[in-house]
Amino acid sequence: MAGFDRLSGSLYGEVKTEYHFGGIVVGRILDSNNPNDVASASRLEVDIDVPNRKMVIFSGIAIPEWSVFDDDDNLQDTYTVNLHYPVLAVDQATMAVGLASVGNGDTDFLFACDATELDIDPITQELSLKVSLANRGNPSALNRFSYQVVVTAVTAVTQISGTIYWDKSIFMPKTPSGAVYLALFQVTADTFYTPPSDGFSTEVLTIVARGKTLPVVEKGNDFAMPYEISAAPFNTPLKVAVVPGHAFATAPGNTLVTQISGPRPLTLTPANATISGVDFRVQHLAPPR
Amino acid sequence: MPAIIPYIPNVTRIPVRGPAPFNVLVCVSMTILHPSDPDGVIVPNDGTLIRFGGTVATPFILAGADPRFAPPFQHSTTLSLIQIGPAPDNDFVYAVDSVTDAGFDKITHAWTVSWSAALAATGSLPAELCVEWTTVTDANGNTQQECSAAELPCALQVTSYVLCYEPPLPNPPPPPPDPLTHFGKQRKLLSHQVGPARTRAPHSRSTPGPAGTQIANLTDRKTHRKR
Repeated sequence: MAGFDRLSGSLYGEVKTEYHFGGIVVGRILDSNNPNDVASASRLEVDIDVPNRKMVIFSGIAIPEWSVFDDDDNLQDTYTVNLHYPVLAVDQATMAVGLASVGNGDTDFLFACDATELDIDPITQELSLKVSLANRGNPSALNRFSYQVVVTAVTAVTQISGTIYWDKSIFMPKTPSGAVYLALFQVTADTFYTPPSDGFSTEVLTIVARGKTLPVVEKGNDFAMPYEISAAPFNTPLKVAVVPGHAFATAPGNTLVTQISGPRPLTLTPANATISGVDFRVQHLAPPR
Repeated sequence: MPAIIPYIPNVTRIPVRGPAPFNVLVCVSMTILHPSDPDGVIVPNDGTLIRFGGTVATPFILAGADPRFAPPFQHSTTLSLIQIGPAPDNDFVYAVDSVTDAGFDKITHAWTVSWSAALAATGSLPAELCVEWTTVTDANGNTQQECSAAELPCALQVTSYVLCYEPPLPNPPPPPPDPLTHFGKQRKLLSHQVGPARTRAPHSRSTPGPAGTQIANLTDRKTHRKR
């Protein structure tokens, strides 16, 4: 049989998940911010006219890529989808899950989504969806499952905000307003760690919340673009990253973005859920002559 | 394969306060038989993974849409497999990989969802699924027909939550009846009907007999009329 590529899962190929660990079946955390873990992840926030409460709807197609090679037993495993939405408490919740991608190689098989559970991470206060799966076959692959979670929750909306400045001589947008501004920068809140290394090591950033930029304004010789990042996790040291987009076209050379004010790293807590004034400046470094 | 008829309400409109400019949250759910068109997806019976896309217009029609502007909306949509074809003795993959697009149709204003999917099969497939046959000859010179391509039945469930704006109705419909009042009337009606029936004689014509006797009686009557 021709090999099945990764998009729909691998039936005979590489096993993405090490599901046996010392004889114990181990699950995996799927990150809804990572398109390799969850396809088509989306979130709706709805005002329900109750103070500090919101209805939030999460949808996506999770990608456990769970392959098994046993058609004698039903193997069970639990996968957790980190929905990346901090809440203080859940009032009500409804969870629906279903199979989205399955494959088998001419053996007895079973695919099942057996149970669901909605949890709040005790540290980050983020919602996570736990799904108990079952799989059987030799080989058999339960590559994807879909989910939809409707929840009314007590929210304490986290927000990180600031402004990105740059000199007008570096870059002047052609139009004073419009969609072009949305493509100027990618602003994210990231967790970070530095892997151990004998020599030079690079800090690894992982996106946990994405921000949106607001219309640019002129301030003297500068352009100033405010930004907001919502739904970043609690109790987690974070760094704000600003990356110029393809629309931010400067003269040849390097573009350097430096944080000029605000805490770095920063940590949101239920008592301090909003941090403002995390500002950046874009500089242009001309190439050496 | 007959079309699957959805058995749940398709569209539910929930008035919401916001966020602006939205005033309604719509839940729309639909079952799709895939491949749904006459020229359905043909899958070679050799394990080749066939990728294809699908689009469906759901029963949710945006009310009061202004054709001059694209209506603002936000959505949260997912799809899942709710039926896969028979697999008596074969390898298979059934997959719905992602939601590729969603939005309102520019002309009909129907909520429309697109997705990417994939199918693969190899082995012995039921004859009714085969659309292409190949004649093969074995080492002894015997020939036989083998299925070389098939249409694999597959059904999907699509569910969207859509935040959008619909102008309020000029004449709002009357509120639904109070369930308690409704229940009280039903109880009165039931007691009126059931009460006297208990007092009737067991041979009354209106008293139903054991299961099946009514059909038997009807048959007797017809027979009697024919005579």
